[in-house]
Amino acid sequence: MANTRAQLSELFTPIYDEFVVMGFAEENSVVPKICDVIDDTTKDWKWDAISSTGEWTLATELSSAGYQDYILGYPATVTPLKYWVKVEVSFEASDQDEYAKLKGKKGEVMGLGKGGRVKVERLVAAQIYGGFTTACPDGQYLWDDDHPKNREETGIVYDNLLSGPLSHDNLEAAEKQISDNLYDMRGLPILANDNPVLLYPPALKGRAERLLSERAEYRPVEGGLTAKDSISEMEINRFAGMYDPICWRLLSAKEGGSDTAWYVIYKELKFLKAIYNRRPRFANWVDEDIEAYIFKGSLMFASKAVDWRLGFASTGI
Amino acid sequence: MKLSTYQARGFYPLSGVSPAGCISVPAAIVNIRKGDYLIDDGGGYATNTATDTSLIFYGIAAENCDNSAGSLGDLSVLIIPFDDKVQFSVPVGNNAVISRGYVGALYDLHTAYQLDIADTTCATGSVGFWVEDFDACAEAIDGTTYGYAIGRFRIAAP
Repeated sequence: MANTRAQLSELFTPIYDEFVVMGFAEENSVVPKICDVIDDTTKDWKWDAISSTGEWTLATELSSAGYQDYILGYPATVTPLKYWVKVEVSFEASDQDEYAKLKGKKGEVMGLGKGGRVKVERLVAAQIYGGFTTACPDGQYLWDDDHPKNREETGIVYDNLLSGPLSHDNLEAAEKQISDNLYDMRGLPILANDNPVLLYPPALKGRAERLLSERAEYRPVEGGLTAKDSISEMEINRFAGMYDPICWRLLSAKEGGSDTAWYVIYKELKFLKAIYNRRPRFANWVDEDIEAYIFKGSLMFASKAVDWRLGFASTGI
Repeated sequence: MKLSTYQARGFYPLSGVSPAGCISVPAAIVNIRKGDYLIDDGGGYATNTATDTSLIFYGIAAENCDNSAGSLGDLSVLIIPFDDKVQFSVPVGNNAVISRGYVGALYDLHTAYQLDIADTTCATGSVGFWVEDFDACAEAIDGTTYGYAIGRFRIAAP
C-alpha cells in the first residue's frame, strides 16, 4: 500500500468539475458516557474485587460468634492491543506540486484519527451487545440469569437478564427485577444514586423517546375520551427524567448487534472498563531510503465488562 | 438461626478460631477448598477425599489450596485443627431438608464438604458433626437444596 504518483494522478485527476474528499464530522463519542476510562501503561491491566462484610448477625451472650470473612471476587485481566493506520506517499506524488490534497501534509494526518475513535467505540459496543453470548469474569454470560453471589456462595444467584421488548410494562418489570437483583457480593443492596443510562439502538429510538417523554402517549379510547379518562394516571409518565437515554448506532443489527435489545447501564458503578495503554498518537517521518513521506496514527486499547453488576439487558424478544 | 453466609460447600466457622490458631500441613495432590474436612492420606499429607468421619482427622481447611497440578507437599494448607469449641455451619448433602427433628445428634459426612443427616453412624473415636441448630429458610434452600446444619465436631463415643 503506497500512494505513488501514478496512483494519485488517477485519484486526484483534475478532469472532474467537483472532487470531494470524503471526510465527515464525527458522531458524539458514547464511550466516556458509559465507561470508566482508564489510562494505564502496564501490559495487562488486572482487576478484582474484595467484598465488604455482610449483614450483622444476632449476638448471644458469651458467644464468640459474629466473625465474617472477606471474599475475593472474580478476577479479570484486560490486555490492550495495538491498533494503527499508516499512509505512505512518494516524494514524486507530493513534491511535484500538482495536487492540493497533499499540500498540507501535517494537517491531513490528523484526519487519520477518526478511524481510531470508531475502533474504540466499536470495541466497547461489542462488549455490550456481545454480552448475551460472551462470558464475564464469573463464568456466566455478561447478561445472564444465574450470576453467583460470590465465589463461595455459588448456590445463590442473581439475574441481570431482562425480558421482553422495550415498553412501559417491561421497563416497569425491569425496575422490579433490578431492585431484586442489584446486590453486592455479601448480599447488601447496592445504592445507585445517578440515573442509569438507557442504551438502545436506533431502531428503538422512537419507542424509547416516547417512553421517556414527559407525557405518556395519547391513547384514544373507543367512543372518545371522557373527562375521567383524560386525567387518568396513564397520562403521567413516571419514567420522565428517570433515565439518561443514549441512542447508539453501533449497537444496531447492522453493526453486529441487535435492533431489539436494550440495556440499563449503571455508569457510576464503574464496571465497564475502557483501558488505554496508549492514547492515540500521531507521527510522520521521511523515509529517505525509498523517498516517501509516511504518516501514522496508533493507539493501544481494550475494553472489558469486569462485573455483571454494570447493568441489566434484554434481548428485546 | 439465620446465617449470614450460605457457602456452596464446606464447614465455615461461626465463632473465632482458638488462640492456638491454625496449623499448616503439606497437601496431597488434590484441590482443597476452604471449609473441606481434611484427613491424612496415609503418607502425612492432607487430603479432602473423606466421605466418612475419620480417626485421622486433621481439621477444616481455612483456605483454598489447589495442589492438583503439583506434587505431594508442593503446597501447604492452613487448617483449623479439631476443637469442639468452634461452631460451624455446613450444607446438608443428603437427603432431606433439615428441620428441628435432626437437631441433637451426631452425623456422618456425605462428602468432605457436606453433611449426611440420614447417616448417624460414626466410627467409634472418629470425629463426627454434632448438630445443635439449623437454617432452612428460603435463602438457605436457595443456596443448597437441603439447608444448613449448625454445630460442632465431637468425638464419637466408644
